Amino acid sequence: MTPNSAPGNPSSRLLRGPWVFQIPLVFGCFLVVFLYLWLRIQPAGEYYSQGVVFFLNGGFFHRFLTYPGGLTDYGAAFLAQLNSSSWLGALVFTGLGALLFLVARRLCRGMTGCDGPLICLAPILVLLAWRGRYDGQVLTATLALLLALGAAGLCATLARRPPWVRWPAWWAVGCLLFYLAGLWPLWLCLCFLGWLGAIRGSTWPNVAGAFLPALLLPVAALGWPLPGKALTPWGTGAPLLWGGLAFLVCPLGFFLLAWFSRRSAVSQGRGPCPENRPLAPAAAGKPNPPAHRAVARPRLAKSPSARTSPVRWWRGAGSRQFLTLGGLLAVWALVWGLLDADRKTLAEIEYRAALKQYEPLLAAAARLKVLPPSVEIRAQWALYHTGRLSQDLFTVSSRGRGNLLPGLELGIEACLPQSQTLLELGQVNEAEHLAQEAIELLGDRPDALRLLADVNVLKDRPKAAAVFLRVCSEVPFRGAAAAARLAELERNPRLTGDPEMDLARSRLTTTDLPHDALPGEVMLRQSLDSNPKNQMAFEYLLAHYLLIGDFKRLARHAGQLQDFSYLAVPRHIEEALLLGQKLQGLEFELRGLKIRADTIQRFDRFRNAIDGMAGQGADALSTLAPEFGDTFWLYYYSRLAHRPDASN
Amino acid sequence: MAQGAVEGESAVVVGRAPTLFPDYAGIVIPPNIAPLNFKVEEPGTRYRAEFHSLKGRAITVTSRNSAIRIPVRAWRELVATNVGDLLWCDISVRDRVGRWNRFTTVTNLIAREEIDRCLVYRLLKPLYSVYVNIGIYQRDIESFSERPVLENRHTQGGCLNCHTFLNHRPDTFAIHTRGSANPQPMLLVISNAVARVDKTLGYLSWHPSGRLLAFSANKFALFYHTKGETRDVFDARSNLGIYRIDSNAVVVPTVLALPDRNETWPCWSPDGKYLYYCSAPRLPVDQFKQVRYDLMRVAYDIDQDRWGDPEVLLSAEQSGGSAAQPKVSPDNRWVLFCLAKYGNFPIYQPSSDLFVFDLQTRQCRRLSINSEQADSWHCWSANGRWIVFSSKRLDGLFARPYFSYVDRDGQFCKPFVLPQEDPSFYEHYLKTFNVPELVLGPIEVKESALAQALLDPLKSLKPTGETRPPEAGPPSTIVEGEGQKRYQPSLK
Repeated sequence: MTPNSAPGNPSSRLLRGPWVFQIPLVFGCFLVVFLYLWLRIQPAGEYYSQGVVFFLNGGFFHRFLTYPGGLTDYGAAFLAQLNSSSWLGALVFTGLGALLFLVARRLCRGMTGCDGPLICLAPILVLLAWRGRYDGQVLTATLALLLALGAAGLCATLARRPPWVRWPAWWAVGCLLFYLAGLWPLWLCLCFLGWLGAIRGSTWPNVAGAFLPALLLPVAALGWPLPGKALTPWGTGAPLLWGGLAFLVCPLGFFLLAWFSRRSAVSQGRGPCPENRPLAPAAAGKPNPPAHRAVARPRLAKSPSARTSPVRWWRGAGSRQFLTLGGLLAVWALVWGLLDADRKTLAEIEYRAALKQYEPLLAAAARLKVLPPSVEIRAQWALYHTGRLSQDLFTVSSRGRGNLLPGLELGIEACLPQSQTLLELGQVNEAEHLAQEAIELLGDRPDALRLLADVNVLKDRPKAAAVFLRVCSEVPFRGAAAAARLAELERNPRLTGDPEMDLARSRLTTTDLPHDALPGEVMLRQSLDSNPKNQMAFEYLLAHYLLIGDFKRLARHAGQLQDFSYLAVPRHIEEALLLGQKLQGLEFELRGLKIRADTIQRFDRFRNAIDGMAGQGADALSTLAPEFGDTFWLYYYSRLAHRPDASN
Repeated sequence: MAQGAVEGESAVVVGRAPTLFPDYAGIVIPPNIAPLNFKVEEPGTRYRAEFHSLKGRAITVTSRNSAIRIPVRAWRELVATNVGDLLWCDISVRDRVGRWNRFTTVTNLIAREEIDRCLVYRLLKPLYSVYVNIGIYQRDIESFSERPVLENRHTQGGCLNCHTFLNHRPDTFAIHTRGSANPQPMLLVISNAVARVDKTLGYLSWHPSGRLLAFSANKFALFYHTKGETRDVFDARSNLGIYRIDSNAVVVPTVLALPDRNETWPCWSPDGKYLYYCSAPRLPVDQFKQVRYDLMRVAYDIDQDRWGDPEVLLSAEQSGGSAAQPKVSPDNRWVLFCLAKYGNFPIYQPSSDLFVFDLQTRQCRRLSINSEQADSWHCWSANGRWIVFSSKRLDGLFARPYFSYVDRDGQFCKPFVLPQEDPSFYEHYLKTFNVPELVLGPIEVKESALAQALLDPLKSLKPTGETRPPEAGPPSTIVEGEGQKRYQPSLK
């Protein structure tokens, strides 16, 4: 036998036994984690949709010093900024996962004497599955868990020291952990500490000495009863369950591993794990062997009694590897299946909206069966920018609420998308109003700050705009654009020459309408009155009349299509005019433009279909969706026809 | 010579004063103010500021990034030893070719009179309908220390507003809250003992005796404009009332609740003999631009509990504007108030300016310290030599606290903004400073005690009596609280 292949040599252990299987397994697993995150979860979508706020300044940092767990929140907020590039965000999370695995593995060996690669991979897989739900603060929980396991490992190391060193050191670690990461990590660390005490046969005073100060610490710091934020740091509901699972999977897994390996050892008359020596309880009056020594000496050869005991198939190395691989694949399948496709699409829509990628935004919106108000507003905005608002509105609005500018009516989430639309419409005060509401509730999101900067430029408050841009410029990785705009603002306080600002300025409202909630139609008409060439206001007004089924006003404004350089009547306008003609005898003048023949033929088919459904319920309309789902006609019959004023 | 110091002969003299941010040039400063850190807004690669006066050691500050941060201890020594004297600041900037440019000396005056030690204000975003993070904070004016008095995250959200102190004392004050179910309670702190008063009160003012709190009961409506300032407030109906702390009862004197008028913004004179307020005819909301408030006062004899007749000090017709927020100087001579084009919510009115009414001469004048933007929420110091007010002059959106020295003749000196440790603080701070109030020392009652008093009070008072009188206008009545544990204030 060569020196390198001696049983006690580390490099030989790498080439033999479980490592031959485990190293590729673990590396492969983390490669898949990275690819899954980068290509499937796409952290950039999370970045734009969740909008985790982080600023590189002392004031922002100071906020996180004031409560337990604040520094973990701060670290997670910083790491969340790296999600602005999907690959970078994926790399960061994979790196955290690798650290988590290493720390968990070390702890696992210390606690159970076994390696348990699947159990050590379990926390990161749980966190990954949680991340696929696009819900809650996964990065915060990941950092907190990492700190908890690290602290538990440190406490286990300190367990070898005499009590006068051990206890103060434990208390210090407990205090530090509580301050850095909050309550859950402290409890997890205590859980491991208790286990360690049980393994080592510690006396009650020993355990109490370690436990009591740590248990009293949160009460002393936070008061009793403990505040809800401390108990549910990642939110309530599903995030709390996911976080709880991520925190519990290690102790539970370790416990099961220890239990099975002990049973196995008893039945085979050897140590708990085939590759490791068991961690024996301390004999009376004798100190325990150091934990690292207890776990670092593998017993590769089976004892004679083991050789004679009956060999079960799952105890063979190959079978166990097969079971591990199978288990891992099963867990991966679960992680894959748990991805929330709808939320992923919502995140992608926010991402596309931030980059003003209108077509991909609409493609993503098309994947949703039901559009939340914020998405509907984004999609309408994208339709306008692709010149299809009056062509394809009902591909969007038939799956939404049919609202263009709902104000605060449909919740805060709809505020920011509306702000962008309102700003472009020239309703700068309304845009300011809704953006301010958004940042109060959602935090100082860079997109909202940038929008408020534009609002203030348009309101001739360049110094206020500069305040927003300066804050925005303190955002890591995305601050450069704000800094460049700030420099431009200092040179040119009205930002003249900027096409978007020039366009918005040309559309600014010139009259004041005091109100407590301005209806969308009034707003659009005011914009159009202020600037009769406001194309966006005109198209939105047409869309508004379509959505409320106001044939007469639609017909009146359809006569102005040529004023806005339309070469043909948009499809939905044609559809509405035809239907209005049929239902109300609507008369309209298109000033040289005509309704296309194929629209008329399609309308005839629709009429026949509707006439054939006479006496059937509203549900029968759904059978027309494959052919007419994108038309005003079906929208009208399914949403508007039963209104009391429908015939007007 | 220290590194970066100016070699006198080689420095080029620039025949103008440097541009500073904040503008701390030509001002009168209190002898107990924190260092006036500033940025030199001149291009350069190195900056140097030398502060000196008639006595004591000069302070020299050098910087590579235009921020001049003055050492606190040296500043205190220099200012304290030169009370009543001029404070000079020589600023030099080294340009890219390595040449020092010396600007005209910046001269300030150190006043003899100190300013109250603490400033209490509310911090919030320029809010609309939704509020999440609101807090009342106290800032030690002598240092840069800021501590929360009460943040709404400890009170299950809700709005905190209108903190009002008795005679600038930090141990006796009231804070009104909104957000929980009606009645929206008030926190009453008397000699650091906290109680919750379950009554919806609006703007508050302590009678100097500490026995009465004048309050307004308002029916506000927030509304919006599509052009100009976005937000506005309309007060559909308001009256004044008196909360008797010693008997835990609310009373609405007829003179303060006329059925055809809206009365608001109560303020007791420091001698306790008058209640100042604003009054306007009750108009429908569509005439909001016609709502203009008169500046009023009414005499009161606390011993006899007798009210005089309302007296118009400055009618809207005379002023051409709408008066709000009257505050009487501690010597009972000056009434400082806001005058805006219309309405009674000056912080949303860019036209709002500070005016002073001389109670001796009965003359009113606009102050030179005003800006193009809203100036409001003013407060006198305890010695009457300083005022603090909120102004949006820096950017038109965010209100910042400004101080101004007032001499014995009622001349107001050039205002300056509350100094911050980071001179660029106001350039990237997204919150607005609301209701700055000067108090003589730090508030000692704990935030947790205030929060507990609000959520789970040890002492809860339910005053009886109406905050709004019936339309007919009943006679003045005082109703004792029944069935409640009497709260006995122990005023020092």
